[in-house]
Amino acid sequence: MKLTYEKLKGLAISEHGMLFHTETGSIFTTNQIGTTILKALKEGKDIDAVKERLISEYDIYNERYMEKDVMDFIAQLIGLGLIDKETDD
Amino acid sequence: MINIAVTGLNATDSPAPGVPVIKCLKEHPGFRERIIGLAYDALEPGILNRDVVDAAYLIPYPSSGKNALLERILYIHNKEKLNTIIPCLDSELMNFIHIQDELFSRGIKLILPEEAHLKAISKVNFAKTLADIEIKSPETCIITDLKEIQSVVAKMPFPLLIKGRFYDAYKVYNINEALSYSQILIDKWGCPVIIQEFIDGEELNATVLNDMRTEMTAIVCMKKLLMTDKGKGWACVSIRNPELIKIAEKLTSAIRWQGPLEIEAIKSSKDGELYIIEINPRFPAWIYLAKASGLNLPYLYLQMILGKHIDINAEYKTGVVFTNFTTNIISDIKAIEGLLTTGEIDYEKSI
Repeated sequence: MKLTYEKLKGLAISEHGMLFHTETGSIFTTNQIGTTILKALKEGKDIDAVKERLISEYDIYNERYMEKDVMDFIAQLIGLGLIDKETDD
Repeated sequence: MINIAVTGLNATDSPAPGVPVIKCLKEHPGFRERIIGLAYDALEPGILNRDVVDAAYLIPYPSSGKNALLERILYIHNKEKLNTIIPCLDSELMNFIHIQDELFSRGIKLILPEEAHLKAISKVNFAKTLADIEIKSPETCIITDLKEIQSVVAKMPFPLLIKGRFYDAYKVYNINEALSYSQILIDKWGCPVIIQEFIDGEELNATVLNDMRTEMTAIVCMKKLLMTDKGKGWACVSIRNPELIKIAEKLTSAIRWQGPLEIEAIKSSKDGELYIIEINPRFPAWIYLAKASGLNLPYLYLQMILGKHIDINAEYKTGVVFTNFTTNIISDIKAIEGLLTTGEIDYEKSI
């Protein structure tokens, strides 16, 4: 799945997990791990690099569960319109 | 000292823009000018607060016509030596446009839109104006006779919005509600009534100040966070929405708008498109958010009126939250007595 992160450019991410989209005014909250994922995506990292960052920063008990959680979180971000799936033209 | 008259001083649960416009002016560093409140009723809260106005005068309702307004303004000018007037209500603008040349000849400067431009963005005409420049708006029908409603609503699915000529809007779910609220709006504001497709989604607004002399446009956008039951933004946050900014620039340039403007839009939850639902020919009641975000549009407008060079720094802060806050003001009965008996009050001299 190829993703585009253009919309994340307008997302202000606070240290405490509050997300404010400066273009749409939408406000969300997330936890520390969600913040780490979003910051990595905003930096342009791909999903593999996001997983590597989580492994380096957190004590991951089970990498398969982590991968599923990351993909669930990505699906939520797509659902909220914060990232887009790239369409094949 | 400059003497500035401001209208629209109602500050109830559906506030008018006058009080926040004055607040923006007064909070500009070094502002020492005199503010004269012009009100339609002795109990408009803005004129009962001496921290807001230095003096206040009642003026005739817009339905009294331009001659009554001119006569009253000239009386006030004789006492106050007005330099300018900032009208803040839709319904009074046409009268001010019609008397502005006479006022200018007496030394009172105004910057107002042209009559044709005001008509182009009125609730009756704005949908056509927007369609001509390929900006989306909800399907809109104009009703001049209640008998037309049945045939109009047959073509438009409920819920619908029924809007008054100048103010007020009701969301209706069936023909009976459509008829009854239309009658209420006709009784209050006269014909026509506007019937508009209801677009579900998030409401984004923009306040604009356009100076056609210098081709400069300042725009501040916000998203409503909390609304009253009348649909007024009670809390909102400053944002920078590129799509709305593009629409605002396209609109002001196409209609060569001069002065302040508010654009109300809905981001449709159905198709994600931005629909313009209303355009108001004045600053909005949330204008203090623009000042708080770094763009003091009322002060820039005053500079425009005074013929001074204005340097619009288009950058402003996003994420600034504005919340209305009700409070109480205490007035001496003499203030109300003065307004009721003579139609005027000077806080420095009287109380």
